[in-house]
Amino acid sequence: MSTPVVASPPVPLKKRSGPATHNYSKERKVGEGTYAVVYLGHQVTTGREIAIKEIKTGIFKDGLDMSALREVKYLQELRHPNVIELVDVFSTPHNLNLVLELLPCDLEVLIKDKEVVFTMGDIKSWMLMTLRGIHHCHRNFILHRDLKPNNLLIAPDGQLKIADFGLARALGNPNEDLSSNVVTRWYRAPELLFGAKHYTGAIDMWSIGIIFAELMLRVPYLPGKDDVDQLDVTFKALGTPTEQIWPNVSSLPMYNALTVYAQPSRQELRNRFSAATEKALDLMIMLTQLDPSRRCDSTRALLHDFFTELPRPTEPRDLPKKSIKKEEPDAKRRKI
Amino acid sequence: MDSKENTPNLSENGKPVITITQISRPFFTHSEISYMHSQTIDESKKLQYNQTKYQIFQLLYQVIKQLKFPLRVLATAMNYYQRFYLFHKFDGAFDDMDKDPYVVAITCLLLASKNEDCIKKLKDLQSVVNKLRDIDENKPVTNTLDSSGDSIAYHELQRKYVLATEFKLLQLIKFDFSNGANSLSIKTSVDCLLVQFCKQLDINYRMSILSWLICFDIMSTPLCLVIPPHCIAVAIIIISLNLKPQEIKLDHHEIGEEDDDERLSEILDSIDCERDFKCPEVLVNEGILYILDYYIHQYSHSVLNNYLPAIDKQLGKEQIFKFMELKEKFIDLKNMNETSCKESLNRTDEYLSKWEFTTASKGIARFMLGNKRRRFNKELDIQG
Ligand SMILES: Nc1ncnc2c1ncn2[C@@H]1O[C@H](COP(=O)(O)OP(=O)(O)OP(=O)(O)O)[C@@H](O)[C@H]1O
Ligand SMILES: [Mg+2]
Repeated sequence: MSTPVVASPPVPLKKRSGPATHNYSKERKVGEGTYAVVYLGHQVTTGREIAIKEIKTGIFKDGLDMSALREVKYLQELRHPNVIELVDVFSTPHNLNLVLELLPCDLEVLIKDKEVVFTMGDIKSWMLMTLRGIHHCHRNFILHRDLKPNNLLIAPDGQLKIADFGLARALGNPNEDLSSNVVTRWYRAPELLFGAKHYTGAIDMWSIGIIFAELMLRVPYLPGKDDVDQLDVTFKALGTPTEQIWPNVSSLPMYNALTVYAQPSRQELRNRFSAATEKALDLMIMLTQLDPSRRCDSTRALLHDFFTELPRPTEPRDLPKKSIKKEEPDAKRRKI
Repeated sequence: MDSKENTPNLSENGKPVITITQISRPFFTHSEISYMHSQTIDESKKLQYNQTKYQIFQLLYQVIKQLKFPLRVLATAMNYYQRFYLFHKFDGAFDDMDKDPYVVAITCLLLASKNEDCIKKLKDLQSVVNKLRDIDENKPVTNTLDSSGDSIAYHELQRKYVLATEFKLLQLIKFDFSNGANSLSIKTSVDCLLVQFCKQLDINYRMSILSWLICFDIMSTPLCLVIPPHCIAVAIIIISLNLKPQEIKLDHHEIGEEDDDERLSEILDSIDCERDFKCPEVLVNEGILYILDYYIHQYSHSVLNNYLPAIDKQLGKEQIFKFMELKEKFIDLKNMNETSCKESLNRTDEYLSKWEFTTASKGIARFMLGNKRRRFNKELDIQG
């Protein structure tokens, strides 16, 4: 399970009630992803609660997992109240450990928790924090490429933090091809669905628009069953792109055999998003422009009137929290 | 001391756990490098180290061409390779995979391709390398990792060694993937930066190609361990504009560039490293002197040698004299002050000693980005 050891004999790893690793205690397992196991722990010196993400090295055929590498690479560069903090990086004999701030909840949990009621002020507050976080990433030429409610974690004080940089990428080399197989399907921008090899921060803005819709609807907005269905679901809701509204769209690799749906009328959107004010609808429409060059960027979104009209965004500490129900198995909590 | 800090911590059974804090230091002075080499490369192996390095870099170049990787993957791999032997003993024993520099080379390529987001399966990297080396990777060999003495396919054993070496390499680069750039928003590879800077200065095609050829030569030197990439790029441009050769053997020519001489001189005079490129001048000077020395000593082996005529028309002498002349001109440049890195001090700086890979098994190693990067803070404002 660990990296093959050359020369030195394998060092037995203590299992269960792990040893105090460095300044940190590793207490109990709180979750497991594809390439890491996450433990709850404490920073010994300060008593601060932290999460330790232990990267499963060796079991992956090609050594250090790309997601882990990206997470270290990008989180080391980013420091922002709305981006998860990488507190420390350390290695034990066969493992790499990332110490992250402990974020016990996420937006998906709240959206699914039907006991919790969202006000427009709550939604505004979460949107604002998400946009501030992504603005910081984009300002540093970093694309997140996997924004979705379960990657927006919530701190005990209510602050929302963008997490999971396993798919992130720097935008340094303009002419290079990028993979279009990024972002979880329901939050994938149309240019990615069409297989574009060049794209920008606009893909993250699209995801935020879809999350905005989901916050208002309390169910996923564009839940495609597979990649083909995703195109259909997306265009049924937002209209099929044509050369008029999106110049050169037809030259993208996967643009073919599309059912043509009309653009939704304002009234149709009003009906679907009954809680939304006109300004909320404006912002959502700007974020979900099919043509990426017309989609609004993080600066324009942050300056949008929606954020200055009443009600005011809820103070983070007053935002809704998970309702306390019967004990749920923690490990399963955030699994889709 | 900022390098290794021993903080005893109490574990739950009351025994102290040793923690070693490793701070990423992307750059070293020349004297630090020679001190480190004196510990990892025996005097008798120096020549072999250089020859092997040359062969391996040639091979890596072939590999990235075949795999259609951008040049920056090669640059990063060569950086890693040279960094590896600052901390790790060079034995040059090719038949012992534990010491085989080719295993190190494949590892550097693997990690560089991951860091540069050009992902290929390790198996494919191995197969290209092994084919170029004429090695039958399916041949059975003794499994030196296993006391049973069973045999195992060459590529399988090689892969095990590569993966173990990757973990070592990660520790040596202190899990710092920034390639010495202060921010990921700026390009980190000299060839990409050169293209950008030449455009910014409106330098003609001929001079851009010249600087690119110099870049190609310098890429494989340890200069990348000494100063950051944008300073190397500016140093190369300044040298190109000083050389201003009348003839370069190129397949392709832009018309009307012959008369550009005066304009190029104006560009050269107008360059302000700090203002235009956020490069501290001493670091650029360091680069200039290094590059000139490189050509003075190795011109006949350089790529540039293939593109410039043997005799420079203006000077009426061999090209190498042109570099010597330039060195004369630049001799008074202020370069890096190494007084803080005297041999006696280096010896007491534990950071510079061979990295003890068993350290992490004695306790825990923690990795931090160093604040020595502050030296280069000016580059923060550069826009990609
Ligand atoms: N900072 C954190 N604080 C608290 N719990 C966390 C933290 N980070 C992760 N977790 C928990 O650990 C689990 C695994 O996280 P991880 O990021 O490795 O994988 P994932 O994103 O859930 O899945 P995948 O690897 O498929 O993307 C999460 O589902 C979550 O419950
Ligand atoms: Mg995730």
